[in-house]
Amino acid sequence: MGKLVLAQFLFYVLGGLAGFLRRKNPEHSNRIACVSALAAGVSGMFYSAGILLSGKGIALSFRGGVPLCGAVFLEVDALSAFFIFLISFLSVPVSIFALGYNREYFGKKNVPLLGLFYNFFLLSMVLVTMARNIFVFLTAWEIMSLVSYFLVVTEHENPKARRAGLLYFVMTHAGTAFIAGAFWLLFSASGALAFDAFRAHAAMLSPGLKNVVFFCALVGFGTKAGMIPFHIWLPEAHPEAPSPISALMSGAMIKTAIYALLRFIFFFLGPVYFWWGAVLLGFGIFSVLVGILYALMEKDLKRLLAFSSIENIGIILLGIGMGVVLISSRQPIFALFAVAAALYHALNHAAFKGLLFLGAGSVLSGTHTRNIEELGGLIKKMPWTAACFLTGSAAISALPPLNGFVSEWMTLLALFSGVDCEGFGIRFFSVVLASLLGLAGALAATCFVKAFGIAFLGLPRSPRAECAREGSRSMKIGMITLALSCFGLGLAAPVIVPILGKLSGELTTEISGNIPLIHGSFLVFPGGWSQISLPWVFGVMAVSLSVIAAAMTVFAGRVSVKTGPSWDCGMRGLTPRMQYSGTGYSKPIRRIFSFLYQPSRKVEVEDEGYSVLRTAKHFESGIRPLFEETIYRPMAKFALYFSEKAKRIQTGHIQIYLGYIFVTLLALLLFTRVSS
Amino acid sequence: MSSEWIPSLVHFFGMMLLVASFGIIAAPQIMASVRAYAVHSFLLAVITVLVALAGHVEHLLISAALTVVLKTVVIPRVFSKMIHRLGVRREVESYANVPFLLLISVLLLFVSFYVTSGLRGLEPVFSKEFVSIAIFTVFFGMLVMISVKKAMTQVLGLLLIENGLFLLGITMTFGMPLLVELGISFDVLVAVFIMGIFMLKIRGAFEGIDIDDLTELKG
Repeated sequence: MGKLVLAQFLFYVLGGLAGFLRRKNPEHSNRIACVSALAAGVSGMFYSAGILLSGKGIALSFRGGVPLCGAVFLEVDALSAFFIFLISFLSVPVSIFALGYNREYFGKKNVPLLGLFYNFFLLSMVLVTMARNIFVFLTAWEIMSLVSYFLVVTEHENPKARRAGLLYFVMTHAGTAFIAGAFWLLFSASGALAFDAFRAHAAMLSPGLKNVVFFCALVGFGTKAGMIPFHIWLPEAHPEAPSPISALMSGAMIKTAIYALLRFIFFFLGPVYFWWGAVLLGFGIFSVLVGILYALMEKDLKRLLAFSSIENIGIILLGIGMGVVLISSRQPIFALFAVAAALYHALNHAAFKGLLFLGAGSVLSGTHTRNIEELGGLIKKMPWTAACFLTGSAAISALPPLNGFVSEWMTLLALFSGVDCEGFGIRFFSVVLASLLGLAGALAATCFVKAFGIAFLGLPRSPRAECAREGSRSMKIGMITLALSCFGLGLAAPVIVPILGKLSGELTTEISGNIPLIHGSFLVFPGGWSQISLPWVFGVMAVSLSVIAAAMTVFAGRVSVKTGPSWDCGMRGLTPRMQYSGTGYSKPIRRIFSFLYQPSRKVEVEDEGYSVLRTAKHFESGIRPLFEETIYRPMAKFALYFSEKAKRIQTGHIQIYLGYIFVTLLALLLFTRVSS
Repeated sequence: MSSEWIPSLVHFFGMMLLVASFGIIAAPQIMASVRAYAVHSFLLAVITVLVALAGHVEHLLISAALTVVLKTVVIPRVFSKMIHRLGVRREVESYANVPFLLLISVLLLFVSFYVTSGLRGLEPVFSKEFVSIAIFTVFFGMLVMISVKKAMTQVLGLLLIENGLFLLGITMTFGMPLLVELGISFDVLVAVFIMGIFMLKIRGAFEGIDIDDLTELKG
């Protein structure tokens, strides 16, 4: 096991560096980087799955120790193993996809450098989950942030990418400041740098300190996770990165924040408080609704997916929050179920969001546009991409028998289980939250009907979509692998859920006995009032579909297909531009939720002398970026105002600077003299 | 050699050291302040020799010899060469006039005596006043750096700070280990050369070594 861990490290490091050996030949150097990331991912999957199944962790010990870190600072326990599995599992198909996708960059970008960043990005994520020491954790966390920043600005000749990178850089460091603050408080309370010491010291922390640490951790990791209102970097940065990186950032990187949040809440802060759960639920439902509503308004395919990531992070937070609430309401078994749902959704989201981002990448490399209003008809040009994107859309819309359905079902049940608790508030809100989650599910389905329908169906809306080509073989393989795993993760629920139940039992309760979560192929809710079996659903669906198909052929005979022009209402000259547009599709939603969107429209009219014959010359509609304008712009303004004031002490005269030093020195010396 | 008169002799040279410091700032021309610096360093060497004799620390004699060679001969010579090459012979330009600066220096002298008087844990091996004088020399070097416009005199300020630290070393611990002192002397020499090159470059870029021109570099 330990050897596999080291093998994974070695593959990442050597694979990242070896690309430079074939600098002259980008094809080879890309292949080296991707294949080594693939190998590392496979070894990561092996050992993490082994740890999850056996329940025995590994601690890597380094003889003699390392300064500030001690001898054991990397360890894989069940929680780490789960997230390492998630990262490694996603990195395998993404690396296959990148083999073909990165051809885009040959001759334009420094391909070995891209490979280096790619491998180090994966390595740093794995290290974040393994770190058992403040120092190692923060170092790995920062490397992850920096490397992903460099990946976001891969296309740095584009000012939008630079702006997105800067925003990401600022936000992620603001978040890291909060994280470092949380660690500093824990360190000053326990006097140690090691995570084990925090865990041992958890029961002795004062309630006030615990609350402050929780707040810092929530803001810090919430920023990384893209929790609203700390999300603004996410829809900017994720789309600008190369598509395999977008898939990794959305699928895996934001999950490292969930990992760290779990470790903080359940390991470092000991017995949890009820209100933490309430706060998590509040942020969760807020992220779910606002995330999906903004996704609905997006016409940039990758930005749409990024907003949907915010929604899914919200669902995960709902699971964790409900877990915390249920623990403090003394319902440990339901809490276990809730946290298991969150973990499951994290894994599922990695699969289908990775798939969707790869699909979007395939569309992007085939058409060179991300604007869905310019796409259309791609199902004929890119059948494989279309099939995979459809699978991902169905999974993210929580349709059975795909994986998204299982985890959303579990989250919904976990939310409903609040009605078995005591207290009016929790009973009331659990139902409200569950129905809001239902609403979000419906909105997500709407959103992905739009994304798929506008991009893949109909006629091409622009010459770009007309000249679309299917991606290379490795891109197809990468997408198909993930699409199959979307089915697999759903159908294998009876195998996965007990493992997750055991892991979440370690987090939430001290119950080590087996909680019956499955019965045969049925998933059973511990409350007893619901159960479901995905394999059966799949079987019934498959059988009924084939029966219908058979009946069709038997009774309707051979269907003859005639191709002719569409009916044009007598108005000749239909063009693809007259098709239903994405903006038109989402118009009802825009009207209903206009308090959130505050839509604006601008029509410039020209009437050529006759007021009857008006021809609109220009039409513009948009929505107001609420969070940017109400929260972040005033903050930025204040910071600028303050720095403008502070600029006065920066005269540029070297003497003045020396004078500052001198005066400070004198003042300090006088201060010590006077005070002694 | 009887050791009773050594402390009073050292005190005398200490006073001379202060006078030489004032000379640096009061000098009308750059070359004059460089000469004052040479005198300052020479007095420092003399004090070092006296301390070495009184405390029977022979390696200090080597430091003293180094000080004489480097700081009273080589560095002033480098300076005068640089002044010739740069063609600056004008008088020292400072932001404040000389009497005012002298007044501030006296004030700094008071401050340095005041701050060192109460500090516990300071146990000089030699005469206690020299801690104050050393601190004053550091302060004074900073004052020179702040108040004077020409880059050349700023280097002098830096060298003065170095002299102050050297003096502190002697009075607190009979000097640092010889190896360290050798290293420091060498560093000072190299620093002077590097700063000379910088000044040539600055003059090339701004046609003058007035530091005010550097504000153009600000964003």
